[in-house]
Amino acid sequence: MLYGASKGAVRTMTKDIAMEFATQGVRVNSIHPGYINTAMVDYAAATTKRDKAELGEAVSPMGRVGTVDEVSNLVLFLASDESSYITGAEMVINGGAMAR
Amino acid sequence: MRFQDKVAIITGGASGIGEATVRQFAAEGAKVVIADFSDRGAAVSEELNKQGHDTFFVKTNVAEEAGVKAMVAATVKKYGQLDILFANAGIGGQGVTHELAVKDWQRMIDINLTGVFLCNKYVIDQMLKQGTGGAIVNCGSIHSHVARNTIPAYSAAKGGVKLLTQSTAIAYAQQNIRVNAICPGYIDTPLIQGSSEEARKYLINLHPMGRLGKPEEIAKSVLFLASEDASFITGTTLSVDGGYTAQ
Repeated sequence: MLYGASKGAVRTMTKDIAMEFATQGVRVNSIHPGYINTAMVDYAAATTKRDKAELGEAVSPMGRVGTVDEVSNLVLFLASDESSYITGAEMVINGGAMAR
Repeated sequence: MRFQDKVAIITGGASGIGEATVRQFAAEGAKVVIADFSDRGAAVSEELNKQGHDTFFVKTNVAEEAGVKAMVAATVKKYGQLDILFANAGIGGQGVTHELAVKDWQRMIDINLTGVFLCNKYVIDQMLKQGTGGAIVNCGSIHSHVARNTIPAYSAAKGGVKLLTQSTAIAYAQQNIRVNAICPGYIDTPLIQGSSEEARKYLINLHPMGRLGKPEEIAKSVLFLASEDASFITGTTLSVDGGYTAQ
């Protein structure tokens, strides 16, 4: 519950700060990863007594957990001038998990 | 060159956001099919081919099933494969609900929603035959998320595009066909270039960034979602709206 509440706060806080600085050339966006191959997912696998592949299959329509590189690609995109008209946006990266 | 040897279809590719996307895909090595109702697509294609790119124009009405089938068939005939679709073709239109003529409602739904469905349907059919996966970007809008009082048909169509995108993404996630939508704010394209200065100012003020977006800025997001950089991203919407929907 604490994790969910804190991430929900990040989402709206991001939008608020984006509004504050939109005309000053400061863009603020949030990313919302699903299960990514990190120590946090190791922990989730251990506590639910499932292996990581099984966990990925269960939580994501793509049937796998994401890689850290896939998330960092998104961070770079949002930090670059490629995304010059994007601010206050939330971008989920989760292999389709929140689409269903 | 992120798209070397990839084949991309861009509907509505003759002007505005579509044309900017055509140019960026071509610049990054893709073979590009410019599908549009307007013959201007032929001129864009000719210009790009003279610069050494590989493109061709298919006159297409996305609201007609036979036309969309023919568009996909022409692509496969010429290039042998199909990797990317940007289902971008769309129209604007105003009219409050009780005054909106049924034929105007129907035309909007036919082009902006059924058109996207038909392109997804026949492109996915081809991608499944190839077994190579693929990437689809559908054109939503800020009005996939929020409404305005004078555009019920446009909002209904674009809201439909959002959930069509999500549903399609889930269905083909295991075949590695990724399906996402971009949701632009008001972009400086022919769709609004006819507006009065006053209307333009009004639209600008709706965006916290204090300006309209440029077609090139939308194109860059389309290329990101279509690229391998977005390999774990499917069933999402990417808002490219200068903060419009964050308010």
